[in-house]
Amino acid sequence: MSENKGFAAEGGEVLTFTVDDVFYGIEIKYVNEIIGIEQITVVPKVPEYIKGVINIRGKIVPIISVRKRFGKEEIPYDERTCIIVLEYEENQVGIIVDRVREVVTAKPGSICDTPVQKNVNTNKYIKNIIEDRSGIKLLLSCERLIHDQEK
Amino acid sequence: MAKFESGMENMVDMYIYETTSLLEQLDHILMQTESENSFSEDEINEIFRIMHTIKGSSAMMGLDNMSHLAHSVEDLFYIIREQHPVIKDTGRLFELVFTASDLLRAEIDIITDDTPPTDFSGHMDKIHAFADELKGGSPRTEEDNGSVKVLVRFEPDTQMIGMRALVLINSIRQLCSDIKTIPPETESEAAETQIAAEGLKIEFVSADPDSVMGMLKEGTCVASCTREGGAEKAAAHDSSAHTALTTVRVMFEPECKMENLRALMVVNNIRDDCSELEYSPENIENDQNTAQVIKTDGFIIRFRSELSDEEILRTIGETPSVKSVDMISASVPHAEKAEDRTAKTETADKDKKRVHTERKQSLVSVNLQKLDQLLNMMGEIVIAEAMVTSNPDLKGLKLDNFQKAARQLRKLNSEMQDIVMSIRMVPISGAFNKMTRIVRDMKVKLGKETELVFDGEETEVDKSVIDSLNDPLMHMVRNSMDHGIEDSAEERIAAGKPPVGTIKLAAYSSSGEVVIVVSDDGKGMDPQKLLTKAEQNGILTKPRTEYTDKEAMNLIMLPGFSTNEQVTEYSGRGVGMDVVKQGIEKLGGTVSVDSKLGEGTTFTIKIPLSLSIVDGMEVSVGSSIFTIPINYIKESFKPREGQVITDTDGKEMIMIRGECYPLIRLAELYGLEGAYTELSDGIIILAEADGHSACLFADELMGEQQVVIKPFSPLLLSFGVKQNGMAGCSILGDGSITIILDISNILAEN
Repeated sequence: MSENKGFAAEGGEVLTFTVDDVFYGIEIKYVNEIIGIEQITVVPKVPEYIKGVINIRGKIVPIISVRKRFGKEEIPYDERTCIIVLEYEENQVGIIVDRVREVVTAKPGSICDTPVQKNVNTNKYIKNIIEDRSGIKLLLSCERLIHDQEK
Repeated sequence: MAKFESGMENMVDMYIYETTSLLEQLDHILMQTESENSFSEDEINEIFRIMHTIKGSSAMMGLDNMSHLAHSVEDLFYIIREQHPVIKDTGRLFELVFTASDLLRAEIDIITDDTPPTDFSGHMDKIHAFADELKGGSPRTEEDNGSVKVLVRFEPDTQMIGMRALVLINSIRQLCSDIKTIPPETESEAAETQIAAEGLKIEFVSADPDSVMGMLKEGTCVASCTREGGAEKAAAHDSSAHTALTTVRVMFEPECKMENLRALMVVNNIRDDCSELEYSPENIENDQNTAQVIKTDGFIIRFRSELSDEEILRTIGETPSVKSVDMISASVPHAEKAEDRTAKTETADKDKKRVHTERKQSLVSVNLQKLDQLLNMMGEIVIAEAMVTSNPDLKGLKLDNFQKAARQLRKLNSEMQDIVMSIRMVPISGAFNKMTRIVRDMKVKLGKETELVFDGEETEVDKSVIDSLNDPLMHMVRNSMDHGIEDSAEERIAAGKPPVGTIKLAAYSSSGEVVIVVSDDGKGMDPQKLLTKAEQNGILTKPRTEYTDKEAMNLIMLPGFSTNEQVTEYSGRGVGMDVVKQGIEKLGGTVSVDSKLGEGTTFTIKIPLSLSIVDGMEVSVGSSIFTIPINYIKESFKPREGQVITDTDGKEMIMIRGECYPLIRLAELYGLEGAYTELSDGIIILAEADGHSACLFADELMGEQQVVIKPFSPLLLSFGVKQNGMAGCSILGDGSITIILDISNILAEN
């Protein structure tokens, strides 16, 4: 996977956020903007983790709940719940996260691969693990987060 | 890497557009001449011109294979034009040209692909062979009673001059017999020096010395090619003779780009009026480097004409992008006039001419992308207007002047919307005319006499519709040809029909829809046969006996259904009608079939006139808002007690004026919570689409509004939202999102 290698070798800026107090990261190049939670229009007959669509300045953007995607229970949205709007392959997708934390720069030395472990559910969305002074962050794969369909 | 030369990307669209329309024109002429079975002079010239233009522009794009193929056809028509040979085998001629046109078109389709250019030499050989036959049978012109002697000079510093000479000789071998050269052997070192010093003398016998000369002139590194013996002609090429010709320098507008081709346009414009014409730099058609030379030094034209110099200069001046035309020297008879013209006289009335040419051009070709943007923008304005005029902040306020102004705005917007739509409208005849070609080809191949008739081809539809209509139409016409029309005239006469079959393409618009009807007067379809076939293929979803005739007919649209026992070149792979259905549905349209055994088959396509803005009725179901396009709604009402019947399966039905309709609860259909369950609380909407009717149950009618259809994101599409009866979404005046229901899908699926 070239996407993977490039990041592990060169490092880069990562936006970190938490879901259930676990730190996750997403490469900043995919992030368009961060907005507060707003009214989501339900689209019927789609998987549960797709919460619906929202209107971002005239564009209709589907919203994925990261909690649902990781098989966790939903918690009530509060004023710190955020939607991170990603742009992947020219399409916008929003992901709902508990808290947005900060932007960190991951150095090549601090990035390592994920262990091969089939029984961990979230593993399939994680492409690298970043460890620095502030702790461990799980770097999500945009592609798999958006496109993998549950079998 | 695409096939064309790098640096030409910005010209690709133009090239494709131009070449495709030329090829269409070509097909049109061919079709006409074929039905008359004779060429008029105009038509030959036209074909010649088309091929010449394609040759030139292909060469400019670096598409040598296409350029050569066009050249071979051009040669063929050159012979026909110049020698008027008796063409015995016209069928073969048409076939050759049609195939060439198809090959060119196919190559354009894959022009941006990363594949090597297609090799057309096979077809070119056929064309050359035919051209030779034509020449063989034609009376020889007086010019070639003997051999022609030609002196070819190569450009100084040409490497491997011997090889080049050999290549050159080989290139004309096809057109000539009895070629002699001095020196006879070109590859020795001595010969090379001789060629470099004295030039290569070629003596040949040919029926068409002019085109041989042309080929020699176009050879690589050839500096000049002059005929010996033809004294006055040779003299014209002599530099001392230049004084006899009028010489002008043409400068082009700065930054007009592609100066070499513009120069070619100039040359083409005056070619017919000039008896002699030379220009420098010479190789403007194929060598892009000449553009730079022309840009800096100007383009020099030497000509002799029966018309006055002024007239020629005027023609040159009228060519687009020409900045100035300066007379350098006048031809001898006009010498005295020339003096005062050396000072730029032309520029004086240039402005007058500019106005003249611009007035002539009342058509503009626009990039489709820009039109799409315009349409999108229009959609945004419609939404923005709703946001302003039905703004929640205005509720309860009495604002007479505001309402007046808002009404005015709405009126203007809707007018503008109409105009934007009409810009994108093109007559459907373009799509229809393409079918003529298919019918013609299949007629020849299948040996079925068939006539294609049009009706209402002036009906206008959105440009994007036309583009996606081609494939479905083609499949249907092929189907009618292949399966519909009887195999032989005898069979038709036996059935009491005229011997020549008819396929009819008709189009008309009705209430926001365009209806396209493809009908034939062929065999028709047997519902029982269709059912048997469907049963064999295992695509029946309910017991055979439950199918109505109409349902049986529509089986042919299912994937994997094909009634033809044999797979032919044209249809029978079991994909045809399936593709049609999908193609039409992508446009938001519907297809239905109707057929009477022994009388023919009719396909009816309905496509919404405008793809993006619909009048919709907003309905609420629980916390969701859906939009139902108004043209599907027959009526809406509050149900009375006892109007609802429940059958043994628990399915609900409603009786309205003696008719029974199934009831679809939208909340149940989409698994929504919080919606009304008591029928008397909510509202019933009777909807109809494609002959299906049903009642939809929703909570409330929210009001009517124009909405702009926005497509779902690919992520949602991958979960099959379209298959679940959702056509798209839209943004309402208050910024909230509504989902537009695809009523025909819901009614068909439930």
